[in-house]
Amino acid sequence: MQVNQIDKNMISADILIEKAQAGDEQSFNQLVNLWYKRIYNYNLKQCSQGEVAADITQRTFIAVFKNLPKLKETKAFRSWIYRIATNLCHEEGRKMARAKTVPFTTTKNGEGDTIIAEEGEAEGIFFNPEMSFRQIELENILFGCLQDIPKEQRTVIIMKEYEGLKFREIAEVLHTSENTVKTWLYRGLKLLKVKLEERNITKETLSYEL
Amino acid sequence: MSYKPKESTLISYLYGELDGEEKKRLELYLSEHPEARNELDEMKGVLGIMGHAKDREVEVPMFSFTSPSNVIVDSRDRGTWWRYPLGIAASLVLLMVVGYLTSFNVSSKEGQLSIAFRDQKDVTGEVFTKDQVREMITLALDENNRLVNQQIENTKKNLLTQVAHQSPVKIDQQLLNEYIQRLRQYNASTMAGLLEESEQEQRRYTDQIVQDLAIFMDLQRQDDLELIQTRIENLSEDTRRFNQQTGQILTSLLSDETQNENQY
Repeated sequence: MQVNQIDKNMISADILIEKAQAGDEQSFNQLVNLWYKRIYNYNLKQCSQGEVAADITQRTFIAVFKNLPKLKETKAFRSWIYRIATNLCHEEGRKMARAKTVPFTTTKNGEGDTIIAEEGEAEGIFFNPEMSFRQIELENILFGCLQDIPKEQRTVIIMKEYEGLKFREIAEVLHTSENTVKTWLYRGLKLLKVKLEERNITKETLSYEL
Repeated sequence: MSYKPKESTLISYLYGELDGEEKKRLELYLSEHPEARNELDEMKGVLGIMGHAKDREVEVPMFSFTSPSNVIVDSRDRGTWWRYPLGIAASLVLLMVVGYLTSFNVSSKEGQLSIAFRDQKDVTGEVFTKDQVREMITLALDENNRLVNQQIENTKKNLLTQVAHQSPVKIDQQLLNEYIQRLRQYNASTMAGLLEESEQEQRRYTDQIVQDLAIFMDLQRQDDLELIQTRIENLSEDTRRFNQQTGQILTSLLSDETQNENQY
């Protein structure tokens, strides 16, 4: 009975990793099922564009498949997959900074000004009509603000706040000490507060608007 | 001795990871430095704002691979609307090219549809009557039925021969017992593993809950303390006003009394 109450997927994750390491395609796809949404949302917050996030997520899992046999400790899978995703996000960030592309989700209005597209246009079949416009607007602003802070601070904030990683795990992913991670988090949150205030987003305005 | 906490220490406190002497020292510092306390509160506010962003749904693609260097991703969500019409158009163009190269020819003449590659051949002289066609179909069906019946008969004979020659299967009791024993051991070890994993998971979960509860209780305590402090300040303000009013009333009464005495 106890076994039924806990998440069986997580129990069998180690077995899945071992089977996928041995080249079992079905187990690898089960592993993808288990992690895909998590990694997609992580990448989305890192780069703030749905199409780019989906592309990086696919590349992450291809890299996972190619390098899975090299993973010695199955327990380290969580840190390892986040490290791959983080590296790919940073690589993409460098490319985008060089190319200075206009996001795919922007469009032109009647006066010819570039505006952010509606969520329905941007997300296609995944548009959820119950998601309020305010919520989407807030997420776009929040993800935009995250882009405005240094990548290390952004990565630490996302890993801690959205992915629920422990400071020790984040330190492992970023190859640094726990104290450095905490310092980055402190500075990142401080800077994020300033960036949000610049866009008139505070606890008070939020409680009024939402 | 002046104490100024490190940024990492403040974060540890914010996430409830500080305890003992260091926590007391930091709390003392925060009570003496309201600007630092305010900064921590603002950070809590930022975390609250971040909590409004929810995970988005995404369609999980299927990965298939023949080797580590050849991974194919079947992703429906990556498709774009123009791919389907473009595919149909490409197929039509391909059909037209093949038709042109093979001189594909379709024509209708006197109620007859003719399909041919290269030139059409005149087949008007080779028209069969309805009865002839019926006779040909009947003959073909009879021949087919005969062949099928023959095959069924042969298969039946083969099966009967095989069954007659087969000896009954003997089950070795010892082997069966060994197999059951191994199965039991395997089940027992699997169950033990699952229970151990379950216990560890529950322990982790309980730790997390306790940690969350501690943070919550800490926040609640701080809020309560702030509330009590505000109430005490209000009370002292009321007392001060009351004393002031009492003083004013007494002064007024005394001055009235003095005026009355002067009049007498």
